[in-house]
Amino acid sequence: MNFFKEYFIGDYLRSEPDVLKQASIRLIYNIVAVSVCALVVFFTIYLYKGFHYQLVKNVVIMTLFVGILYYIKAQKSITLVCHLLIFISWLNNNINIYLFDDFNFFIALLTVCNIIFAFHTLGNKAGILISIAHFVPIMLHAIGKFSGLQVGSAQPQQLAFMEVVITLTLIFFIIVYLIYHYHQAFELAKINIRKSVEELKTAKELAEEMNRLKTNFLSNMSHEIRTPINGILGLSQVIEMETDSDDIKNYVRLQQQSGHRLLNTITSILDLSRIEAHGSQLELKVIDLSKLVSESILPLEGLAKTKRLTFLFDPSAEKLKCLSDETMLYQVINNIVGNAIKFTDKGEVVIRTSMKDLAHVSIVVKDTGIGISEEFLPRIFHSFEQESTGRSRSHEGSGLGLAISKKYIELLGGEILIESKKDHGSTFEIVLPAYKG
Amino acid sequence: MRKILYVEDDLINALVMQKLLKSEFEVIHSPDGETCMEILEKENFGLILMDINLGKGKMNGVETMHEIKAHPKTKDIRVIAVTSYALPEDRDRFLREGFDAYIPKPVDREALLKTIHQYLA
Repeated sequence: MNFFKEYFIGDYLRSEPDVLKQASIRLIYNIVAVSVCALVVFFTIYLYKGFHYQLVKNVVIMTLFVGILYYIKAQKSITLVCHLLIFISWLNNNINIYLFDDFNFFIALLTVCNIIFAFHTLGNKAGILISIAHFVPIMLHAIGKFSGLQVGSAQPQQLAFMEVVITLTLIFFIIVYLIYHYHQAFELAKINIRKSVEELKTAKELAEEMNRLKTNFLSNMSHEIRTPINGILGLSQVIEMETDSDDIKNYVRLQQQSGHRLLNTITSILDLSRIEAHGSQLELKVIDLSKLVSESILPLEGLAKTKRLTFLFDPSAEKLKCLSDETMLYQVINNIVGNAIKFTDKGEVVIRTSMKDLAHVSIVVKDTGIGISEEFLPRIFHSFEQESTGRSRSHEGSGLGLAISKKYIELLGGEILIESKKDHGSTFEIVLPAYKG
Repeated sequence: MRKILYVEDDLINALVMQKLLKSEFEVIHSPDGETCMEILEKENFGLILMDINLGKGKMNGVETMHEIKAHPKTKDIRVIAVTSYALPEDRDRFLREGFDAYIPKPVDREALLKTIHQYLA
C-alpha cells in the first residue's frame, strides 16, 4: 500500500509545506484508492457472475479513478479532483431528491459530509458556495413538496435492513474519518507552530548574545589598540620636545602623522563594524541643522585656508529642524566636507542648508575639485575604495568615510545624492526628513 | 612645581604622561586604585588623571573615582578620565559617572595642558 502511496503522491506531499494541505492530499488519495480497491472487488464479482453491463460500467469508472490518481501525480494539484468528487456526490443527492422525490436521512448526512469536505479541501470561500449549492435544491424541494408539487415520478427506492445498516455505518464512518483526519493535521500544525516559535526565540537569543559579544569585542579592540598608540604617539611628542635636532623633530612629526592616519583608519573600521553589530541604537533628538553644520565644519576651516580655497557656508534663512542623531550627523557632515576640501586644489567649497521640499531638509556641499568619473560613481560608497588606487593613489585615507556616511544617513532615514563630472567638481547632497513640531 | 596624581597601570603610558607634562607639572604615578587611595591619605592633590582600565588592580578607574568623591577629605579633588575607551558614547558615559572631564587616548599635549589648566584653576 505504501508503495502505491509513495508512487502517486510522495513527491507532491514533500513539495507541500502546509500540513493541512498535506492532509487534504492524503485524504483525496485515500478516497480514490479505496474506491479503486472496491471497484476491483466488484469487477471480480461481476466477472464471476457474468453481469456484462455492470462489468462495462465498472471498467469505465475504474479507468476514470485510476486516471485521477495519475492526474494528481502529474499535475501536483487536487483542486479539480475535489470539485469533481463534490459534483458527483451533489449530482447523486439531487437525482435522489428530484428523480425519486426522496429526501431522506442519508441524503442529509451526505450533504453534511460534502460540506465538511469542501471547507477542508477547497477553503472557506469555495466551502460557502458549495454549501449554498447543496442547500438551495433541498430547500426548493421542501417548499415544492409543501405546496403539493410532485417532482419526479419514480418511486423511492426501498432499502433492505442490511443495506440501511451498511449505508448508515459507511456514511458515519466517512464523517468521523473526515473530522478525525483534519483534527490530527490541525494538532500537528499546532505542534509545528509551537516548535517554530521556540526555534525563533532561541535564534533571536543567540543573535542577541552574538551581538553583545561582538560589541564587547569591538569595544575591547578599540581600547587595546589605543593604549599602545598612546605610547607611540606620546613618546613621539616627548622626543619632539626634548631633541635639539631639526631633522629628528621633522622625523617624529612625520611619525605622528602616520600614527594619526593609522588611528583614523582603525576608528573607521570599528565604526563600520559597530553599525553592523547594533545599527539601530540611535540617540534621536531635535537638531538645529544649520547650527550643527556650522559646528561640524569649524575644525575644517584651517585645512581649507592652508589650501587657499574659498570656504563658504550659506545657511538657510529659515530655521531647519530635524529629528536625528547629533554625533552621527556631525561625523557625516565633517566627512563629506572634509572630502570636498581634500579633493579640491583650487577654487571653492560651498556648503548650503535649505528646505528641499515640504518634508525634507538638505545639506548641499559643492566643490570645484577633481570630480568623480562616471565609471567610479557606482562604487563610490564601497568600503576601502578610492578612485585612484594602487601606486597612483594621490590622496590619503582609507576609503571608508563615505561607506560609513552612507550607512549613518540610511539609519537616520535619509539619503546622499551625488552629482559629479570628472575634472568639473562634485556636488554632494544629504537629504534628511524634516521635523515638524 | 605643582603636583598631579596619575593613576595608570601601563608603565609606558605613565612615562609618557610624566615626560609630556614635566615642563609644568610634577606627575606622581600610581599603578592602581588602592595605591592611589594610600597616596591620597598622606598627600593632597588638586587634580587627578585617572585611567579606567587598571589591569590587575582590584578597583577600576570609575570605582576609584567614586571612592575619592565619597571621602570628605578628597571629595573636592578634580578627577579627569584619561582613557583608551574612546568610542563616541564613552565620553557621555564617563561624564555621567561623575568625572569632571574626559580626555581620550592617544593624548595630545596641547589639548591635555588646556584641559588641566582649565580644571586646576
